[in-house]
Amino acid sequence: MIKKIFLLTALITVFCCMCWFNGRATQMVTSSQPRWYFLTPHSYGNFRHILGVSFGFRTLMADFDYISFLQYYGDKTQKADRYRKLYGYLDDITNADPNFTFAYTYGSAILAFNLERYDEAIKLINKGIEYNPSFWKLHFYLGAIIFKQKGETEKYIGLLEDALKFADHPAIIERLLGNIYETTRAPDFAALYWLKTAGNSKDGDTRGYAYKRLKAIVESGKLSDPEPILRQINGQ
Amino acid sequence: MDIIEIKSVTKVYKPLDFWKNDRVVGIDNLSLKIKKGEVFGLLGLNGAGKTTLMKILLGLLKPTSGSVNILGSNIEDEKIRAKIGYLSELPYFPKYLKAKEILAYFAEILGLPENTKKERINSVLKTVRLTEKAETRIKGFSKGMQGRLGLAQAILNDPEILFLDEPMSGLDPLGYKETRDIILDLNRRGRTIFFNSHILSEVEKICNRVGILHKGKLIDVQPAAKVIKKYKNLENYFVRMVAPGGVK
Amino acid sequence: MRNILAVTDYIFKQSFRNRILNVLILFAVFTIGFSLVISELAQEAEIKIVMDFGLFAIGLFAFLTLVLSVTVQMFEETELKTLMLIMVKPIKRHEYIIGKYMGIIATVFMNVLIMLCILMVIISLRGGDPWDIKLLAAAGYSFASVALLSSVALLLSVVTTSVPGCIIFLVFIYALGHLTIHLKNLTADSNNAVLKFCVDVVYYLVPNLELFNLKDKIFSTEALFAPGYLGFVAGYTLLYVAVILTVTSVIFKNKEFY
Ligand SMILES: Nc1ncnc2c1ncn2[C@@H]1O[C@H](COP(=O)(O)OP(=O)(O)O)[C@@H](O)[C@H]1O
Ligand SMILES: [Mg+2]
Repeated sequence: MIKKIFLLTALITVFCCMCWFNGRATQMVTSSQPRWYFLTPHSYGNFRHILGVSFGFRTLMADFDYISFLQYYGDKTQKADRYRKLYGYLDDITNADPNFTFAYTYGSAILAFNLERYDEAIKLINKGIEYNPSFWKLHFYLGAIIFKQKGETEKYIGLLEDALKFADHPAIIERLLGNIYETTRAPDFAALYWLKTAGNSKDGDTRGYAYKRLKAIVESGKLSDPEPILRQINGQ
Repeated sequence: MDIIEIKSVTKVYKPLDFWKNDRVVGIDNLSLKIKKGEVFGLLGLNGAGKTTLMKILLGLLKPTSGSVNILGSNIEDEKIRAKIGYLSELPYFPKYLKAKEILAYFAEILGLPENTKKERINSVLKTVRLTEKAETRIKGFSKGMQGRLGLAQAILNDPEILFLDEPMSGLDPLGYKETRDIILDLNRRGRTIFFNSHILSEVEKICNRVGILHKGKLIDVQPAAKVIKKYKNLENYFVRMVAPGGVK
Repeated sequence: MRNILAVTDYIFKQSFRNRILNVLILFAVFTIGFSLVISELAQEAEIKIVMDFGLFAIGLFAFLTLVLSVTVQMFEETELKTLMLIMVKPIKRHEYIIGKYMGIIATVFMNVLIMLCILMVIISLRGGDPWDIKLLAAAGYSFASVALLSSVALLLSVVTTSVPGCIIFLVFIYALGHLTIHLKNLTADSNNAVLKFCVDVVYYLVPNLELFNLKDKIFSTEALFAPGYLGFVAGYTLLYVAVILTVTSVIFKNKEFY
């Protein structure tokens, strides 16, 4: 009998300690995680996200959203209405995983530089900055987008060049910058840039694209001094 | 000295179907004493309550009322359980383990000394004629071979009391004889055996004393020699006792 | 102690022989296949996605390992009645429970370790950093959460005799365990005392699996890697397992073997 009472008391004590530990650990999660982390009646408007939360694979759901975004953007038939729903896709991705920084940089680059929808691009980047305050590279992109919107070409070129210095830039920046060089710089400069990109880019599509552009410039015959460039192409 | 003491034990099973009140009385107010060195055979029809009684003795089932004493103490005491052996009705073993591994596992739990463990396992395997199958997985064992393995684990610790629930079922005729030899050998060394069986001709050859369990009640207990003398063989006695209207 | 280790060894061996490790093959095929498909579909974010998927798969397959080994044991114990022969041997019932628990988590641990190695190889082949602390920590916490769940699984296997019932309930607990932290947060500002009480009951009784789900959280070395957090979570895990195993042992002690 005494043994039973002792056991019961011990069990309740241990249970209370366990609850306390649980509470403290939860508190640390609550204080270290941003608002978005917690489900609210408005968050995760998507059933798949709720599913992801209940089984602990929310970031994976964001990855799937990212793939459907890529497919949407790769779908040429959507070009007619200029990828109207693109922002919706990006919003889905970043709702499910607000830390998916690549989605912000890539998405906003497309929105601002390819589709010239600056408001959406800025909204996206601002969302990224809000959720990832320590990921300061997003400020670069914000600056570049704003300069592009204002038409201050040299300033955004400078920022895009800076963005290229970090390994985690989206490959689309390389292509954008090359296209901008073609219109704003001497053909020799652009050709050299494409040459470098064709050799160095991590992304296979971008390497192919750079090579194609390079060939186009060379064939157009605008180069003032084609010799060193041709030598390098043949040398590679 | 009474090595097993059963004091007015009753076991009422919980209803199988929650909504129906179909309680089954497994054992009905049963009392029995067994002395050290006895070979006690419990006879009864299917469903008489033989398995139920044995499980109560072993602490696998808790009696609804009454109490059981084994080796002068309670079966809940591990020291007592270290001194008994049990072979269940239709024993099964995990099919992916080898016979030797299962015995090693049981030997470990029985606390057999490390230095003699291997020897003991080998000798037990030899006793039940499974030496050749020691390294075979149970998956490749026939029912009878599993029965032999069951017997092997029951005698692994050279028990003071051996409980056997239908030890002969599924064995071949040679198996009958071997089981009988094992029982008689243990008995010669002063061990107590409590068992039940349908195979009356075998029971006849081994038992000192027989009891008849019918519908949960122990209707008769007699020394085997006396029964043989009076009824010629066990079969006559048994049929007479359990036949409808047989009990006066 | 000797008894406990004997049971642990036995359970581990049995899980091993019951081909529960085939789960690993499934994992390898799944993850490798996925990473191949992904490299076609999602250029540039490939490593992140492979890592997310790999960690998800580790969590899932660790859970699967647990479910499988518990059901294999349960099947043998209830249907084949192998437990009777062991219970009449000189082993205390709680020793058996503890040994079985350790056997199950040893199986899970080995599976998680092997899965992590496979994932690390895949990631390094794809050009990522296999020693990423995020990856290692997330896998470690995945194991801890399954260790927590194992105790619940053991409790379930003792109170019910129905294998499918046990599995369904475990899946339910798995989902609920990921949601309690959100429920608690949702009702934090509510004035409804009854609702708050109900949520608290669920929150304290159901294992708080979201504490262990590092892969879905912001990683900051100050907060979730601080020794404080590790300490609280470790303390929580140990005490939770202790409470559940004690309750399981008490129930098991009174269990009858029909
Ligand atoms: N788990 C159980 N629940 C309810 N009744 C049972 C259970 N096990 C056995 N019984 C009943 O108890 C009686 C005795 O069974 P048992 O001891 O197994 O007989 P036997 O003598 O054949 O071994 C039978 O009538 C049987 O139907
Ligand atoms: Mg029976």
